[in-house]
Amino acid sequence: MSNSVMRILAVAATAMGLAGPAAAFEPSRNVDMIVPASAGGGTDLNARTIAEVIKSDQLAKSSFQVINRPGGSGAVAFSYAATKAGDDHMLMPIAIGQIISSYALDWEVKGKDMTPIATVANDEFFLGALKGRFKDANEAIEAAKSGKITFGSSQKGNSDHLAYLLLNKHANTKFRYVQFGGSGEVMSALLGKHVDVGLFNPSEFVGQVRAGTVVPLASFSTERMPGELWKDVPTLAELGYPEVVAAETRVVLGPPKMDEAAVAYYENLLRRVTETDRWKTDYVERNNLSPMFLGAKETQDFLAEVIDRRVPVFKEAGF
Amino acid sequence: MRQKAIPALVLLMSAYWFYSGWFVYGVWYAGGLGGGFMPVLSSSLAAIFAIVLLIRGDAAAGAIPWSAFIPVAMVALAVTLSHAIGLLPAVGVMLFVWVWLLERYPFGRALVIAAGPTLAIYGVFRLWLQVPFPTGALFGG
Amino acid sequence: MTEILSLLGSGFAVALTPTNLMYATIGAAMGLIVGAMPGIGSLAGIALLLPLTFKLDPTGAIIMLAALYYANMYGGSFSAILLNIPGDSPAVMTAVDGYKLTRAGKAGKALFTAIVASMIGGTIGMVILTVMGPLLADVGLRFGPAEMAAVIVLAFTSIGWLLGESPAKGGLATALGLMLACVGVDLARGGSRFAFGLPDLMSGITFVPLVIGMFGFSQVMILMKDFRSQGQDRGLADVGRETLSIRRSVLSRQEFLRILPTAGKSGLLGTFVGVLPGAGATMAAFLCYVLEKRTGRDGARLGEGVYEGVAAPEAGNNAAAAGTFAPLLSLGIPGGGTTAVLLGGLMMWGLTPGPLLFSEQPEFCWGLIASMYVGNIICVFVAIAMIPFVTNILRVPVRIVAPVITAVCVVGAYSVDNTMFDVVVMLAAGLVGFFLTQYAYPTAPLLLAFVLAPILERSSSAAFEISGGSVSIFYESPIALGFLLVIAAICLAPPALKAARGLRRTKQPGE
Repeated sequence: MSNSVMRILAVAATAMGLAGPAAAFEPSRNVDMIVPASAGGGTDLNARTIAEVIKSDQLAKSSFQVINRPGGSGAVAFSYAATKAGDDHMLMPIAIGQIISSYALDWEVKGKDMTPIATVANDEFFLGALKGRFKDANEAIEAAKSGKITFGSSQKGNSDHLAYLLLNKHANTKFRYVQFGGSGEVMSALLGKHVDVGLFNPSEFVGQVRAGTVVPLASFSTERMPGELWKDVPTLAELGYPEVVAAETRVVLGPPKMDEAAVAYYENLLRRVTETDRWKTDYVERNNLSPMFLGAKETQDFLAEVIDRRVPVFKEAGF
Repeated sequence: MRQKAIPALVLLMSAYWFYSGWFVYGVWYAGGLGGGFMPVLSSSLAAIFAIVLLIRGDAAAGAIPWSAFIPVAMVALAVTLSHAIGLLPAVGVMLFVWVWLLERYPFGRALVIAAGPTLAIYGVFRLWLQVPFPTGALFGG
Repeated sequence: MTEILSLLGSGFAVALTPTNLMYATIGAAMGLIVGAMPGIGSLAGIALLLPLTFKLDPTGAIIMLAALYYANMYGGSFSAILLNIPGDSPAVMTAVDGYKLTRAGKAGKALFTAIVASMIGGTIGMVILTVMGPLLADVGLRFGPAEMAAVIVLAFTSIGWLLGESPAKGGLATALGLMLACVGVDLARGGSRFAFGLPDLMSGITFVPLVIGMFGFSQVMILMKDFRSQGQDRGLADVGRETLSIRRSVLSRQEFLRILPTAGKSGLLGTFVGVLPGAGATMAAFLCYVLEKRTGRDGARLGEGVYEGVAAPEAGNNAAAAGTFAPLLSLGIPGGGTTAVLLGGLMMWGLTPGPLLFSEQPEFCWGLIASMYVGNIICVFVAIAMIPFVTNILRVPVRIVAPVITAVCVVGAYSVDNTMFDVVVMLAAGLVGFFLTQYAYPTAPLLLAFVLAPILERSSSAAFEISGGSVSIFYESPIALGFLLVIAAICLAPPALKAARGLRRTKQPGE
């Protein structure tokens, strides 16, 4: 894309009140993308795709290099970002689960300390069960009131756990939380009939859904997911639980106190990344994500809503 | 006396582990294992073996010459230096100091010996595998 | 069976095309180098090379990545045997006997043993995968949390065989490993425990820096202690003037026959461990080593530097690497971090891993399986060709090689998670390892306990979450009950046998 288009976009962004009065910002050196997870996971893939698209579509002059800092399930990256306050050459692509963890697990540095830049994609949550185990989501929810239905999921204090707590609270269920080392283990346990239901991202069980061995009962999203496999799956909101909303939303943060002009620059850059064909087909579609883009201000509001309205459920559950 | 240092230290450690496991994390909560179960189990085991070893004693090992701790000092040097000049240069300096001052190689040869591995590490880890080594305060944050 | 053979045959037609053969060779070469670099595991290696493969067709790309994955297992043993630094965590047990062989001047043969055993183990794993992949995956599914907990308890009882001369010292080392494993995530609350306010400890002590310290760095300290008091400095091993040629590294017929049963047994056990959810190649290597120690013809000498001690873990970890492909290909379930990345790769190429993969993409699946056979052979040739080059390091005087190993330890420890904190962990682990070794405490049980404890805690706590806190889950499952009975038998058998022998002895004079 040419420079003039970029300028127009920047002007538009300023006019919309997204950017401050600041002068145009452009990175003067390499930009570090600090990934709070190991190489190879979902967050890492997200970061590497952003860096790849920026490079292949020549969206920026400086190069974006991915640096993995997986320590402490993300707490190390948060602490590192805090030492880089005001640094305009650092981005942190992150899953919202780690922002939730920073509150639920009471990390020293928390999600609101960072500078929100953009929301780039959404990885939805589905409740899945073996075919024939439950007729539909309502039957599973009714059965779970007995307190004997097990719910396979991964680490506590994360967005999976949040989805579970919201479901139990608002649907008055007593699902039993069973903690596994990762979604692969949850799927093994579900197929081996060791747990009754499991929480999955579409990409984690699309193979099983297509084969008909596992049935998606309901989604935790606000709207139904499009596509042949998912369009008939109701949302929990439709079933009468509008408060039960959770997903692994992919957000990009900056370190604390990032300059407004820099935020506007990166916000605009990420918007253009999410508009490329490569992003839409090679990343979003192939990984069964849902397209989603929010600017800096909307991302801030969105995070505030999750943190203020949903995260307190951890405390209520005695966590 | 020295040969009892290991069991004594482990015994101290196990006391802390046991205390935290039992009183802070809890051995059991309603419906499952508490976070203190493994600490309590492991520290109890550790305490038993440590006490056995403390009572029984052990054949004394020979004296440890100071030279065994050269590598420790050298790594400490590299870690300290890395904050200022970055990790790879710090490793290079460590190699040079070690080979030149401690192993008494002539200055020129020591320089070559230190530069070789440093460049090899730079090539493989930094250029090929793209490990982001810290750059240090002196050369641009 | 004939159907499988014909499918496999068509797979070979895919794998043996010159382009795919080339991809496999490139993958194998890269995997060997990445595997030999401490701190860069197969996970990071594959994740870093994944973007490079996007331009290839899916079959070629996955063939290259799979070759890289199992070549890693070969590469990890190189640095373990030559420098006592396991390149990757599955190579931990290889270092124990491998490095002792090196110091005894048998580095070439030790490397050769590792390569041959890896090949045998890997091939056993792949044959099992080919013939009964889906069945194997189903067996894996039967192992829920309660069953896994029972398996790990069984594995724990085997630590007893590793303890060495002083059971109390071995016990202390085991308990220390268990205590260190407690650092990190508190499963019950999700928060951290024993982290002392350090974010770097909130998810636990990282295994690879710990191993690099306990093995590699403490070894440097020992070198500095011993060699400075000696006059001559001929390098790590007295390999003499002539080059360590490949011919001198080839095992004799007798040596080969000695490691054959070891590799066979380990191949079977390793494949099984690889299929279990949440286990993995490191655990397989440990268990195969212990199995050999217990059942091997010369088991008692394991740990002193014998070929079987290299063959068992190497065959085990390669078989496990093949075993993890069973749930991946037939169910779309990744067995560990590395296979999860491969799974991600499959999706990037538009393939959907799951039960339908074999019927919808037979060419891809069988091409991959066939390429694993081919790739394994390629790995053997590439690895053997490297022996004369890598063994040159043994010629370098200790005065130079000790600082260089130290540099590699520092860089390797840093590279695992890109944090200086891990360098400090490596340093501390090195000091602890040094003092433990000086006072004749074995370090292998410490590391095994460190690997097994989190799996035990995770699976037993999940089992209790399923049962709502009732112990019945452990005896109501026939598999778990079976394992628990075996454990009871193992614990009771030695005293019972002793008693029986005692009885016979008292009878004999009367006859």
